[in-house]
Amino acid sequence: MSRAGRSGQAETGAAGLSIRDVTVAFGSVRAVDGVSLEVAAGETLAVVGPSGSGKSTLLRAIAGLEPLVAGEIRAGGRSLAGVPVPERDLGLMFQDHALFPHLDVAANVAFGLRMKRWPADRQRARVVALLELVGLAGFERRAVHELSGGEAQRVALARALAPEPALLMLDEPFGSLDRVLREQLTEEVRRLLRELGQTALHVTHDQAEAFALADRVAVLAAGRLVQVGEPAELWHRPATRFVAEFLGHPNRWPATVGEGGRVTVAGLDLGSLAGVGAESAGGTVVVPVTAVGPSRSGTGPTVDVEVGSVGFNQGRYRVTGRLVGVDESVDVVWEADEAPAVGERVALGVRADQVWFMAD
Amino acid sequence: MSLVAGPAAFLAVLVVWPLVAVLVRSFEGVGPGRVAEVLGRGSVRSVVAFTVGQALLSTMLTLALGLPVARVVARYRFPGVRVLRALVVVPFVLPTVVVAAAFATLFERYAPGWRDTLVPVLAAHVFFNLAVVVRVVGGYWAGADRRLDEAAQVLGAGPWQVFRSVTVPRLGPVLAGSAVLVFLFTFTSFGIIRILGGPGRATLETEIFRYAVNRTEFDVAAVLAALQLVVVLGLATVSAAFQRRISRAQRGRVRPSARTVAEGGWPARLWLAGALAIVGVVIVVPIVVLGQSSLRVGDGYGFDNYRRLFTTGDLLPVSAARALATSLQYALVAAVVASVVGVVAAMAVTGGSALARPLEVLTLVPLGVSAVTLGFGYLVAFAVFDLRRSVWLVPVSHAVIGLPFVLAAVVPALRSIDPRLREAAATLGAGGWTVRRLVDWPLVRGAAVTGAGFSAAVSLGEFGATSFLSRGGDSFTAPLAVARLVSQPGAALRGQALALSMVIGLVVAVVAALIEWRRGDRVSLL
Repeated sequence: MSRAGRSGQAETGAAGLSIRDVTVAFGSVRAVDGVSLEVAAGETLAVVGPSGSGKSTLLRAIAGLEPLVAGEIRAGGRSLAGVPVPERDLGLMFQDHALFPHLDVAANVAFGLRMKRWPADRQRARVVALLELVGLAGFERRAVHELSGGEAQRVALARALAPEPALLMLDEPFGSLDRVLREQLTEEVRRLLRELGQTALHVTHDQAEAFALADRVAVLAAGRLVQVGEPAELWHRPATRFVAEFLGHPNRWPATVGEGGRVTVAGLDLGSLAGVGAESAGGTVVVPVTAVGPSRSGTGPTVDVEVGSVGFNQGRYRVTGRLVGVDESVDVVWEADEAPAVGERVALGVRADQVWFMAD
Repeated sequence: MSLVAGPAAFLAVLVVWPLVAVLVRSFEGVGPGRVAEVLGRGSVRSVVAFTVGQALLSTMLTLALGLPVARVVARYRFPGVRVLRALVVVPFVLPTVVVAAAFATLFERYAPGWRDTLVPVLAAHVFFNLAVVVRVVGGYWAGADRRLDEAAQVLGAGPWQVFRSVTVPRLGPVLAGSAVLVFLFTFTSFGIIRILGGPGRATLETEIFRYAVNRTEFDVAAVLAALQLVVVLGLATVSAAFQRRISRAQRGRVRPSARTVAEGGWPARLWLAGALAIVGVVIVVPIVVLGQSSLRVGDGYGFDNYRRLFTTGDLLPVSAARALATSLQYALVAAVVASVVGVVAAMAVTGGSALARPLEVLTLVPLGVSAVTLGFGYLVAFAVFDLRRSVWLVPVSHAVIGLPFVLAAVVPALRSIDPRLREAAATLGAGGWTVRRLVDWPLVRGAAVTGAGFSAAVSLGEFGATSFLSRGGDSFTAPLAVARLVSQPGAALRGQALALSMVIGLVVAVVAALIEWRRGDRVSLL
C-alpha cells in the first residue's frame, strides 16, 4: 500500500481533494466560512464538529448539492466549479443508507455503473465483487427492506464504491447503528479504504469514530476550521479549549506560568510543559484522563482531589471529583484495583510529560 | 422551468382561458347596467336564495348524519369496518345521474307524496356527501390523541364534558372545513337538481345551463356563471384556509389504538347500531332499490331492461350500450391525459421552482369551479375556432376535471420521497430526467395509478360539462343517456335508465372500491 505523507501538511496528489477558502451561506448565516483543506490521494480525512458546525454542509458543497458563495474545490486536479452533481465522479454514503427502496441489492449497487453505461456483464461481475468485498456475497436478489441496519450500510458502501469514485464521502455513516456494530463496521471500512487506496472524506460528530477511521482529523466549529492533524497530534496538542473539550478532555485547569516557563496549577509546580511559549503568562493545562491517577503517586508532582463519584467502565473505575483549592473538576481513569470512597481526599500523581499547556 | 411550462400551458388553454372568456362575455357589450339588471331580477334572486337555502339544509343534514358514522369508524374496531368505510365512500364517486335515477325511483315507488318536495334532493345530497364528513372528520378523529380525553377524564370530566371541552375545540376547524366542502359541492349541484328538482327548483348551475342551451341567452348565462365563479372561489379560499389549519392541528399527533366494540360496552354497541342504521337507510337502501328496480319487468323480474340497452329507440341518438362504449373510451382517454399531465405537474409542483406554488393553485381550480361553468366556458372560448365541434373536447374536459385527483394522489407521494435518494442518484451520475425516471417515477407509480383510476371514475359519471359539449351521436355519453331516459314518463324507459345506471355504477364502484382498499387510512378526502 502506498500511502502519501501522513504529516499535518499532506501532499496533494493528482487524485486528491483540494478545498480553498470555501464559503457556503444560508441567507445571512455562513454555514461554512472560508475553509481550506487538502486530502492526499489514498488518504482518509475525517471532519468532526458538533451538530451545526457546518461539516455536513461542507460535504454537500463538495458533492455539488449546495452552491458555493466563495472559494474553489478541486478533485483529481480539476476544478469542480460549474460541474453538475452527476459528473463529479464522487461517491457519497449517507446516514440511514438512502438505498433505493424499489430496487434490489444488486440494482442498488449497479446504479452508478448503469449511469456510466457499463456493459451488463461487467456490471454483474462488479456487483458480485463488491458484495463480496463488503461481506454480503449472495445478497444480490435481496430486497432493501429485508436488510438489517448494518447490512444496509454495507450495501450503501458498495453502491458508493462501485463506480470507482475519485473521492468517497461518508456522511455520519454509522450514526444509526448500535455501538458494537458501529465499532465493528468502522474497523472494516478502515481496512477496506486502506486496501483499495481510496481517497475518502469522512464526516462525523463522534471524535472516537473519526480517530478510529481517519489518517488525519479536521475539527470544525461554527463553520470555521479550527485544527487539522493526525489523531495523536490532536489529542496531545489541542489548539483551543474548544478542541480539547470536543475531543473529550474533561481536565482543563487554569494555570499560571512563572519564572523559566514553569507552570503552576493550584500551587502545584508541574515544571516546564509542552506548549509554553516565551511570552506565556496564564493559560489552561489539558490533562488527559490517563495522565493522572493513583499509580503515579509518589513518583512526581501530585494534586489533592476530593472524590465526588465512582463509576465503572470497561474494567476500570472512573473517578470524578474536585481539585482541592481551585474548585476545578477532575476526571480520572483509576489505574488501581481498589476504588476510593466517595468524599475521601486522595493525592493523585500527574504525568507532566503528557500535560499540554495552552496560553490564553 | 421547463417542467412547469407543459402543465401550465395545458391549464392556461383549458382552464384559465375558458373562465376568462366567460367573465369577458358577461361584461362585453352588455355593460355593468345589464349585469345589475340581471342580478336584480326577481327570478334570479329567488334562484340564488334557493341555491343557498338547499345547500345550507343539505350541509346541516349531512353533518348531523355523518358525525355519528365518523365517530364509529374512527373510534371502534369491529369486523367489517373496512366494508363500512368503503360503503360510505363509494357514493362520492358515483355519477350524479345514477344517484338521481335511484332516488327518483325510490321516492316514486315508496313515498310518492314526497316525490315533488325538496326531500329527494336533500336525500341525494346527503347520500353523496356523507363520505366527505366521514373521511375528513373521521380521519382526523382517528388520529386525534386520545390521551387528551383520558387526561380530562382523570381530572374529573364526565363524557359530556370531555366532548364539549376537549373533543369539540380540537374538532372545530375540521368540522367547519368539511362543512364548507359539503356546502361547495351542494351549491354547485347540477345533475341532482336537473333530475330530482322538478319545476320551480332551479339553482344557479341549472339556470346557467338553461339560459345558455335552452334559451341561448348567452349574456345572462355568463352573468350567472360569473356570480357562481365568485362565490365558488370565495368558498374555495375559506376551505383552503381550513385545510391549512387542519394540517397544522395534525402535526405531531399520535395514533391512538381504537377500541373494539366489545371493550366499549353498551354505549359502543349503541353507537355502532346508530351508524349502521344511518348507512343502511341513507346509502344501502337507495342502492338496493336501484338494483332491484332495474330488474323489474312488469310484475316480475328479469333482464329485459338490460337487453333493451342494446336497442336503438327514438329517444336516444344511439343505443345505450353504444353510449356506454363511448363513455368508456372517453374515460380511458381522460385517465391517460390526466395522469400524464398530472404526474408532470406534480413533479413541477414539488420541484421547488418559483412557479411551483402558482401552478399548484392553478391545478386545483377545476376542483372548485363547477363543471357547468367550465363546459360553458369551453363553449364560449372555443367558439372562436369552432373547436367546440371537436370530438376531443369532451374527453379533454374530463381530463381537466380529473386532473386535481391525480395531483392529490401523486403530490403527497412525491413529497414523501426522501430527498437523499435523489441526491444519492445524482452523486452516482444520474441527471435530472434520469433521477425522475429511475427514482421518482417507480416510487409514485402506484399513486399515479390511483389518480388515473379516480379520473376515469370521474369521467365515466361526468354530466355537467358534457351536457354543454356533447354534440350527440358519437359523443353521446352514458350519463347523458340516463338523464334523458329518466326524465321521460314510461316504465320501459325508466327501466332502461335504471339498468344503464346499474352498469355505470358497478364499473365506477369497482374502481373506487379497489382504490379505497389499496389506500387504507388517510385523512384527506381524495
